[in-house]
Amino acid sequence: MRYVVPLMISIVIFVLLLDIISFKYLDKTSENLNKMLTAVQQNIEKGHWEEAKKNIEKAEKEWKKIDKKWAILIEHREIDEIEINMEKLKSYVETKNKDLSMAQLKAIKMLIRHIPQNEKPILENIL
Amino acid sequence: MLILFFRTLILYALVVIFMRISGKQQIGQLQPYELVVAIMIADLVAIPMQNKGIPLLSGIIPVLTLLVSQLFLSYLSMKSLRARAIICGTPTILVENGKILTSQLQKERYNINDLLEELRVKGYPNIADVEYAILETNGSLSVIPKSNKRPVTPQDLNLTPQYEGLPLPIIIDGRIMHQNMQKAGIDMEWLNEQLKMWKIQNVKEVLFASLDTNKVLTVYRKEG
Repeated sequence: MRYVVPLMISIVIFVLLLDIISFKYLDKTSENLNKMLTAVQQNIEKGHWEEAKKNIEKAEKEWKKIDKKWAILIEHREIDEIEINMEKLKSYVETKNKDLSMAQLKAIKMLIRHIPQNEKPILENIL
Repeated sequence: MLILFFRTLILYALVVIFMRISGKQQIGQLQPYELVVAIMIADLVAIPMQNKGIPLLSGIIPVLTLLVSQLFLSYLSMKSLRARAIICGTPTILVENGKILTSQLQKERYNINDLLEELRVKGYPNIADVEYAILETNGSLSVIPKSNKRPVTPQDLNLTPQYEGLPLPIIIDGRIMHQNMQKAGIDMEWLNEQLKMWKIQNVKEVLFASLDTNKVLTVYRKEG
């Protein structure tokens, strides 16, 4: 019986720490990715398609670095969704379609921003 | 992570409350309709517990619904004999006057090995010793042995043993149960004197102490 209370406390602390660390990681990486996508957005707005393509490749590289770690923390369905939308964006940029690429870009940004929000331990998420 | 932690806590509390409300029957011997609830609850709660995409309410509402239906069925089976027979079934006699009723065994899909196994568990390895064996509605087997095979009771020997009553716990885990002391009509002075006789300085050293109806205090010390 002597180990029950310490075990309980250590499990709670472990969950708390894991939550804080994973939330911070998701928040930081998603912000990073969002910044890269904002650069792409500016390129598209100005009609610099070649720049936009390069920036998308950069963002994709960054995404490849983090997606495996994200897979440990969030639902895989969400990761798949981001990947599908990324591919769509790439082809829209290649065909230089401004309207569609802007719409696609905003959708990806929303998806990425939405993920750390979803992991926040607030009442709305708990219920 | 924390979201899952809190969701699990909420649902666990809900199931514990459910089990408390649905009565003590639930824990020990389940009637068929109670078993159904127990199986369903395990599954219903497990899914929203781990899937954050499902709102918690879709776990809570089915559990509450099951609680209401279970309370309704147990109320019905308490009030009406016919309903009780339908919901819980009726006990089946498998052995009558020392004779195995094979038709009843077949009806309950209870084979002779099951019967022998249960009889052995109940302490009757020889079927010839059994007068009656009754399969209860919760699936347990009641065995009534032949009168010459049952253990001897004081009445058989024409003895009148002393009244024993219920021993009262006086100290549990180092804490004095003042209410029980009042019931037994003893005071602190008497208790301290008794503890001194057991060579105990502090109540905290005691794991358990009980008082029987002859006012004899038995003390169990904590280890180490």
